Amino acid sequence: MTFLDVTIELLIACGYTLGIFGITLVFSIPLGLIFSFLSRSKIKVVRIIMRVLIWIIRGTPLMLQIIVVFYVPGLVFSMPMRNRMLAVSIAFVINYAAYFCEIFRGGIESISVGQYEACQVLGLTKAQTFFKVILPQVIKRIVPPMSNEIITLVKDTSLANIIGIGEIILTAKEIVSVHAIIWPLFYTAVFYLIMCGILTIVFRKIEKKLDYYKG
Amino acid sequence: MAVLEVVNLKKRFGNLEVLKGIDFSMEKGEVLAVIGSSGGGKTTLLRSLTFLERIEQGKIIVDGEEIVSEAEFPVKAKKLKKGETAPEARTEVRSVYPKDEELRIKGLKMGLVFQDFNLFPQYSVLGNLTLAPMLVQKKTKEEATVIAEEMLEKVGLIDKRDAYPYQLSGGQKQRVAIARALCMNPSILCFDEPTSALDPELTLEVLKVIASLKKQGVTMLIVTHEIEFARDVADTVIFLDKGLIIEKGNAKDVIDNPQTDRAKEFLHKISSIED
Ligand SMILES: Nc1ncnc2c1ncn2[C@@H]1O[C@H](COP(=O)(O)OP(=O)(O)OP(=O)(O)O)[C@@H](O)[C@H]1O
Ligand SMILES: [Mg+2]
Repeated sequence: MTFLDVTIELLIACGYTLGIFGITLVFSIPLGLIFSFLSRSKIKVVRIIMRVLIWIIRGTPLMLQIIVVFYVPGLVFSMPMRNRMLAVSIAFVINYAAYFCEIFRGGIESISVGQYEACQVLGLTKAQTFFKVILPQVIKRIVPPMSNEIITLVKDTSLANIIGIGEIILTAKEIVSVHAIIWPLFYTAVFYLIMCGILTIVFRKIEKKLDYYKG
Repeated sequence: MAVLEVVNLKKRFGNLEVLKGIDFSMEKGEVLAVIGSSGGGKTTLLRSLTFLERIEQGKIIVDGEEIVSEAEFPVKAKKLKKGETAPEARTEVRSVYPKDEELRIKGLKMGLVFQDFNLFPQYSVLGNLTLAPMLVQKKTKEEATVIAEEMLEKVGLIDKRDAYPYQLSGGQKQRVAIARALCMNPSILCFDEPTSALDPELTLEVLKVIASLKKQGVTMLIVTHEIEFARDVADTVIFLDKGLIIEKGNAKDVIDNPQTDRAKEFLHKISSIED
């Protein structure tokens, strides 16, 4: 296989990688926000359930979670998961929602009660208070930890190879075993570096944009 | 008609009785200073009047409207032991609040300036002033801006309209906070130690603004440790001690001529610190 052939194969595989990345980002951020509301719920049972859930998700390897989501429905409920991409998406979305939840919760709790009280005496509704006053401040504070997590996500997509999704690492491994050449595996690093490099630049831009105020 | 009438206000935190029956009223244009030693319940009183805390008993009447009223409720009977006869059903008087949505709007009659300003850092000065008028009073941006600029003129900060809070000094932040509260056109503007987070040299500019608001007829209720200021600017002074008003009257009379030992002691201590 020529360098060009390998590049084309890996670029096609990038589609899966970016697919997992995109789906996870789009769904885990709102889900994480919902998780963070639930984990601050006034109802104690809800809080405890959330804490246990987050403990389980953050306390076990993502690779294991992918395997569980893919195989357990078939083994336990005899409803085999036919769609590999769906299984991976579910595992990634829930996993990342748990991490984002903790970031959001930390961000929300770091805003002083004074901000809420100022809104209250000015007559803002709860929703106005959250979306117009609290959330923008939370976003500014969570951009650095979020960018860390999102860059980790790019690399975590490689875990999808465990159930045979043709993302970059799996594709490279196949080339290696079929053509008996090792370099394509090392070559994958370039693809990850480019994706992470772009994200780093994007996040730096966002941070700059939010730099117009302090606090 | 009184702008504010407070009747037998009682507030507790758990078992701690913080306000034990407060009565006073304010007339339009009056400036009332609340003084008293630490822990006496001054902040709690102000927070109750601005509906940040809920009182257990008492009435709060603003512009003749009973925002917090009272009603009788049956006292929950204790569980009876065997052989005990049920005691007579008793009732107790408790404060009644309107529904949240109603309180949110009625509460606008009470403005509050916080000790630590609580400006919104992501909005410019103008943004801080126009946010609530636009969201709550549904004013257009133009209408809100006209009022905001008028208020900024009053506090002498029109040149800072596009600055962000982090670019302001403490005194300027506090003046912006005053302007922000004024934009909602409250019947009474309350202050909780508006200068205690400020350096002495910045204190003066804030006190000057408050004095000029008095000239313009703004009704104000000010919790303060600035005794000189209270004496010079306030019409009336309330001395709050351990949850009760122990002196109330003309500002100069109360401060120059306190009747109770507690007030004498407190004023003496304060003046000896200031000297
Ligand atoms: N949220 C709360 N929970 C429990 N106790 C409280 C709470 N807020 C105030 N207290 C208590 O109520 C009492 C009165 O407090 P408050 O802050 O009203 O006093 P203050 O007169 O404003 O004092 P200072 O001059 O120090 O500001 C204090 O004993 C205080 O510990
Ligand atoms: Mg206080």
